[in-house]
Amino acid sequence: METGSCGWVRRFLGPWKDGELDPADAARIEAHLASCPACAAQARFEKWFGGEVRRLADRPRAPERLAQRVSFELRRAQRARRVRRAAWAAGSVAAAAGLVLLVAFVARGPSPGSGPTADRSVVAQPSGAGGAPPSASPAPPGFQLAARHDGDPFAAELVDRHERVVQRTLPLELATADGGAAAAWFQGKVPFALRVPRFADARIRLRGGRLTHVGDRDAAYLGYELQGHSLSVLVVPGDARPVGGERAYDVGGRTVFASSRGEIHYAVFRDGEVVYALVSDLPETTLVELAGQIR
Amino acid sequence: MGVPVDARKFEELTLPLLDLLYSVGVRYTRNREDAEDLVQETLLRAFRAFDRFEEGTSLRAWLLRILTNCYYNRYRRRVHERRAADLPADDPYHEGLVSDASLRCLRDPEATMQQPLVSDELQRAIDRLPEAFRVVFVLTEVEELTYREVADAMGTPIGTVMSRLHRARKLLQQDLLRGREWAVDPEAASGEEDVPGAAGDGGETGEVVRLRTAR
Repeated sequence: METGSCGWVRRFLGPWKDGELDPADAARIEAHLASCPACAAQARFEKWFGGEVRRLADRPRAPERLAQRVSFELRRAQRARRVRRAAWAAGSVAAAAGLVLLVAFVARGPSPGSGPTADRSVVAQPSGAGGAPPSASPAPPGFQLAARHDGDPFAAELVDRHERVVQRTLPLELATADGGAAAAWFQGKVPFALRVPRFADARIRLRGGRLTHVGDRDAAYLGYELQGHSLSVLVVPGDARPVGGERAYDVGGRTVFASSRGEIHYAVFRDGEVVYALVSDLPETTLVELAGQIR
Repeated sequence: MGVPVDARKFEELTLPLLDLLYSVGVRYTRNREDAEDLVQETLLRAFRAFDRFEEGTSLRAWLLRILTNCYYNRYRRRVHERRAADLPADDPYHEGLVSDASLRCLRDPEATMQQPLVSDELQRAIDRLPEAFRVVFVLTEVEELTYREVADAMGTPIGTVMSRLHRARKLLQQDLLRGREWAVDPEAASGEEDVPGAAGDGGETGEVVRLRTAR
């Protein structure tokens, strides 16, 4: 094999080391290195130097606040874009609104406090949900709703947010265990006054929060932890989504709807202006009970 | 051609690249606060222009290209206005002052490798590199982008990336290993702006090397 001159080899040791050379030229260099100790030493040196640089070079990490700033500005840019489009899209928006109202009428569960039996779509059937809650109180009575919600995009989004935060592809923008600090952080970022849920169960620790979206609405994401399980609480504007689920429970003076997607369970309820959704791999009965605790 | 994207989807795509953008922003501006502003502007521009991103191409190269443009269009001027007075008068790496003859190579590379580099010294030496060399060096050596991605990000031919990288390595080695065994090695000291005959740029005659241009 033709091996190339020392000059040629030295010139292209860098691209060779970086794996950027055509295989034929890489082979020429390697053949040369096998027969030229000086160039071989230089090649080892270039690799060493590159390794030292990668080992030592500072790779500054973006500060948390940068993700928040960008997130905030993107949403503002999006709203500005929506306003511009609203004029010509008015017709189709009106049509879409009609559809949303229809869906809401079909999917909406009983209003808070009225109890699941007030809704004719509820089949009076105990849930028999398994899995003991961490607290000692008995599982609340459950009822099977006639409608299945597997195709509910709201549910899909809730589970998606939970899983992505757990898998750390959606970072928490705010790390705090202090509910007051979290509420202050969300001030002005979400279109409602956020009351950060506090649980009667003292083992539940707040980890932090981030801005998120459910549907097209800004929403608050709060991350909690209970005995190694991640618990996501999403707080969504109340007019964004109908509230419903596969099973309905009366607990803590409110109606909580619970559903499951695979291993992940979620519980939703309306509280005045907002809708709370709890998502976790904790047992459904635990989630429902925690939903009842939120004050 | 892509389509307009919603903020949430855009964030999903770009948040994993935030550290990279910030890191490169810091290399350009040499200042963390300026880098934050640069990254924010970059992502807002990218969001508005996302319908022009070609699917299947490198998103990080596309974003870095926008970052580079933002920096040159607006930022560089402002930063330089502020810093002009701070440039050390005897900065040996101020662009143009380094002659090709001063680019050296090791006489005894084996002995040099016995002593590890020191992180702070490396950091300062990278910061002393002329801007174009600094960014190419960091993108390839630290962030491990391919030459093609760096060329796309910088808007330069791939041969320019190669020669800048070569020069950047030699400058850094000289800077960091001064005092260890040195000798002029004219073979390795070539410092022309473009590598002659680097395929992919429509090579000329002379020394020819073929890159893996398929990527």
